[in-house]
Amino acid sequence: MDSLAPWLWLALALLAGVATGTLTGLIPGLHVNVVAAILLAFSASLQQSDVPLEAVIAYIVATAVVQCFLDIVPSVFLGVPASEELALLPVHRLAREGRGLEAVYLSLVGSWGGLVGSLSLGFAFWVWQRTGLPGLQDLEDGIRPFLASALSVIAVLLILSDRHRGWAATVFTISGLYGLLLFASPIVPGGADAAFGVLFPALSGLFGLSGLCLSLKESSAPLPPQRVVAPLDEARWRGAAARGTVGGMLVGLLPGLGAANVATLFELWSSWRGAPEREDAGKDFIVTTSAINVSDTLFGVAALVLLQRARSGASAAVEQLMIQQPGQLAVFPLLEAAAVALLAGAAARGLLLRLGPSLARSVSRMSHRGLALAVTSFISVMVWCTTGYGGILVLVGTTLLGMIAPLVHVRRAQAMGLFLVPVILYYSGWQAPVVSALGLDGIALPAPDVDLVHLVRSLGLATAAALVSYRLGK
Amino acid sequence: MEMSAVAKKTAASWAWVLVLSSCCIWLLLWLLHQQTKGRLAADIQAALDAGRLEQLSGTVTRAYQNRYGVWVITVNGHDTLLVMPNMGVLAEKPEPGHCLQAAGRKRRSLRYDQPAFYPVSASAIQLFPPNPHSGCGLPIVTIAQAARMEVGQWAWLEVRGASAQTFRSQAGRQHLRVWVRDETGEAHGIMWEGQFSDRDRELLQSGDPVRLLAQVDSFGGSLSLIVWKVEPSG
Repeated sequence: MDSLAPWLWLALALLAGVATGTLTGLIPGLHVNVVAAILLAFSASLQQSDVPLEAVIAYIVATAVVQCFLDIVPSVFLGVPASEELALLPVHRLAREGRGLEAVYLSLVGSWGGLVGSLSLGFAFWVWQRTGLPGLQDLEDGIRPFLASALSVIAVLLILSDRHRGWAATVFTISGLYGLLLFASPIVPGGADAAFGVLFPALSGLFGLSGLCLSLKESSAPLPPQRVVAPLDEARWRGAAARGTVGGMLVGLLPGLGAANVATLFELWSSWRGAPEREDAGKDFIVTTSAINVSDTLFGVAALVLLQRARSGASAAVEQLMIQQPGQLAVFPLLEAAAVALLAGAAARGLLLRLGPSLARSVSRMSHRGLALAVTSFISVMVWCTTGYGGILVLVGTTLLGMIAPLVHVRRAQAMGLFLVPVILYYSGWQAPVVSALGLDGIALPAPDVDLVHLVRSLGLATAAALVSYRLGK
Repeated sequence: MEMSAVAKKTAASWAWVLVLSSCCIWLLLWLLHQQTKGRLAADIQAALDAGRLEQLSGTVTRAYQNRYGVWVITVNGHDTLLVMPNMGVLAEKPEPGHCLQAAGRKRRSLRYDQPAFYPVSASAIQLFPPNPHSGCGLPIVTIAQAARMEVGQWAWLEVRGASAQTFRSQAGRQHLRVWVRDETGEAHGIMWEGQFSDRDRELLQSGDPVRLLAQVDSFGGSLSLIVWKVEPSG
């Protein structure tokens, strides 16, 4: 029985991860990073309990993977703009034509392709590295001197290719200024390393609450009855999924780039090669983006082993957990994590294939306004309880900033300046003089110790606020 | 269908309002940052008292800045202090022999398995010239005592230079071979290329009392010193 125990832990972690990922995936604006932050805050208690590190890592990986598969459902069926000209996203266009389920299946094809592709690629890299041949780390060391220039070119390209260059540059610049301030900030003690550090309110505001707030303002379209379609022929979209896998690998392994940046670069590449028909381009975009998201998540975790660097919220949580425990990389359960990712992906795939139509019906029956208000309340209360007034200020500032891009029809990816500007400055060797000139010399005051009772109380309060908000917003 | 001109104008007006508001909040956050800077010493002392920060003090034995602006400072030969570039510019360039005091935390990273010390801020690092009466975390020893130390250990030595001659290694590098003595004995040593100046060579050749920051090594079974810093004694 004793020898079975680790596998039982892994199985339990997998089940818990699938359940959590389903929940966070179906709730708009709730990112896996929030779950990772909460889990990290619980880590001190986890260490004192019997829960093995492998099980915690498996839980985070399973949650992240399932979230990637399922977050398409609220994206398709909630907050679809009433006017056609505002329905910019391909998923919204399909939902308005009663083909929302087709968008879900397209995303499923991309996510599954991204999962299988990235696991295969990751395994190949791992074997390659084990043979003693120059590995990814050597490759990264080789390209690091050129990273500042390469990322600058990408940033300029993304700005110049936007419809409104002035606005794109404005969003990018202000985001960059926020990035410089936040990565050095004592406003939320503990900086970017703490479980509930400054990135929690910053990312929640920039990419979560901003969208929710805008969707509260807009009137949603009553969706036409959604047609039930058969699952798609995966072979047709293999190319897009493979592109997404490679794109996700780049995002997962290189610093500063986001999934949205790479998806945009692919879009530019396709249009440069000759624009496909709008509908095909839209479908291609859905498959590619979904594959990028899954591949990014997995390579983010794999980067811990292949590069010894954390590249995403989930992998940063895993890194912190590993640093706190002796043994570190020697015991990193890479194969177990890969197996868990595959099983979690298969579970999410099965869930979407079997329950897709009913999930779509249930989600579209929910009040989008209520849900948006509920998530806004949940995140705001959590930010207030865990990061104080400094966190709330950051949340408000980044929410306002995140609302600019959709209002003026520039890409939301411009807000990735938050990461890109500090990363470009770091790799160019100019970060120290620039932050000194701006009076933003970093101050890393220690984060307050996380009190388990306080955390549970905060979660309870945030959940209560969310429930009340949902009722009020219905 | 194109968006109406009125809708476009309204969206742009709203966007300007949002730009201004987010800039105002950025300014507010900046002011809070400056306020924290103003009371940093008090905050550090409070965190030290509460045991939430540690203090690192000792002699800088090695210091260099990598191409990304990260200062890697070795203190007392074994503690590594990392000053990341987002901490800003150091008030003074750290050099071997400097006496260093810093408040911060020891942390491990996956990439560098050894724990490193991360200061609270660049301004929380204080650098002083070496004090003639204290080793600043390192022992002040005689040559006889140095001979009994383990290879790799660091110390200050109060000695007189006997000779200092440059020589070219097989790899083509120009190092300085030194010979020093005190009342307990004599020892030879080496200063690597790039670590010595003409002033160091003249000091060692003059026969005046000097203080050496050195790492104990062994060559042919006898004491050999790897000298990193030469200071006039007294």
